[in-house]
Amino acid sequence: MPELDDNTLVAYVDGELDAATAREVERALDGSPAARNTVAKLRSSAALVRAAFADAVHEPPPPGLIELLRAAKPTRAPRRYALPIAASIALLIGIGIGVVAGITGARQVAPQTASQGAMDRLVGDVAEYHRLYAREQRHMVEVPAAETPHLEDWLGRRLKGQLTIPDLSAQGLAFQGGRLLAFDDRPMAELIYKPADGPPIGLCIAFALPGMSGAATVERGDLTVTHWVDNGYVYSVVGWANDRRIQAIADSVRAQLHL
Amino acid sequence: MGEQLLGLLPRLGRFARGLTGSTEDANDLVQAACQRALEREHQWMPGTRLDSWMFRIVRTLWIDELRGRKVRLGRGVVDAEDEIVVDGPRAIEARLTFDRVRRAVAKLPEAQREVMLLVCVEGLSYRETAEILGLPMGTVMSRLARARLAIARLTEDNKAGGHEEGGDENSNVVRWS
Repeated sequence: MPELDDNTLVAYVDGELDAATAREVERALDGSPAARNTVAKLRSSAALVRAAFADAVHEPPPPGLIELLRAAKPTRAPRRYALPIAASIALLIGIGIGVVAGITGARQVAPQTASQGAMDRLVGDVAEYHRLYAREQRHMVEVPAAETPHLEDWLGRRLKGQLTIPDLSAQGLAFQGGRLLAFDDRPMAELIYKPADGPPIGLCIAFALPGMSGAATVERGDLTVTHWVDNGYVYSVVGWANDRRIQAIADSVRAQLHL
Repeated sequence: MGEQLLGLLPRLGRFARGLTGSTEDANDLVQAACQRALEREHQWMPGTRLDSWMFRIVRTLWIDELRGRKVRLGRGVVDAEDEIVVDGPRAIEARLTFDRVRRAVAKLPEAQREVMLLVCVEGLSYRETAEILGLPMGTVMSRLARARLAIARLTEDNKAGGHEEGGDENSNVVRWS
């Protein structure tokens, strides 16, 4: 029986325990509501902090620094071949599996696990972002629906595609606006819609990671998230609604949106 | 090296923003770290992770800067506190914002904050974090657990529309030091 102290629990939440110990902790958790409560806190605070700092990667670098780094002379040290070789291997792997080169570099994990983990992370981030922003009255969106042309241009550019905001009025949803988030250090757009009465629905669009494929609908706490991959992008619809409603909205989006 | 650093700038900027709690300080810190990296390029071992090396430089420079400020001002750094604005009751109710989470992170003791940023935001493993900070794994774990529970408590207080400094029945769960 492992000891359920805070150190063990945090390592369990972060996947840092070996498989056998993690299973023991899991079993021990069944008998300890207090430890389960701690696990929930350790998990939610990590997601919150990650989300709170996600946007910080889009802040412009200090003025002049880019020029300074561009101008930096290559070193004279002889052992410089290691990186170019690694980079060209990464490129070959990228081309080999038919993805845009350079999305994540060469990750040495089994593809199945990598895509599963990435999908889990995506769903977690999408749900956490939505939970946070949907509470906001004044700051629910970064750019309001009134500026749709700017939104389409701005988010389209960040996603490197032609973005046309889907019209979901047939689903009883009015477009509110959008914001720029991040997934895996790359831009992710969230478009927000509201029904006449009820909580907002979000549509997130991010670059698919290598190996991501298929479609699924999952629950995250009280939120439902459905996701699918199309043409190098991963789309998710998220909201406080049942599967059928979320899937119907997703069908509407799929029929209209192709970046 | 310059080109590789360019690619790391967004993450270095984010780490620096989290450490310093201010965009201006973060910019100065990233600038100084890049300059130092270029000067000491020969110390970096090709084949090892450049991001870890850079996180270590950023962190070392920030600790030096904090020490310098304490000597100059005769007290700790209070930037993060200065930014706190008092909201009306309605605004408090509606605002569990990222801004608040960032402020909660700024309130953590330095030693907990750096561990939290490297693991939770930059996604580094405990081992990588321990190496960057020169700490035993056990210390990384205990600081991380304390930081995460402190953040959970601070944000829960906010959710309830309560005070930021505790004073409710949960306040003895986390020790601040």
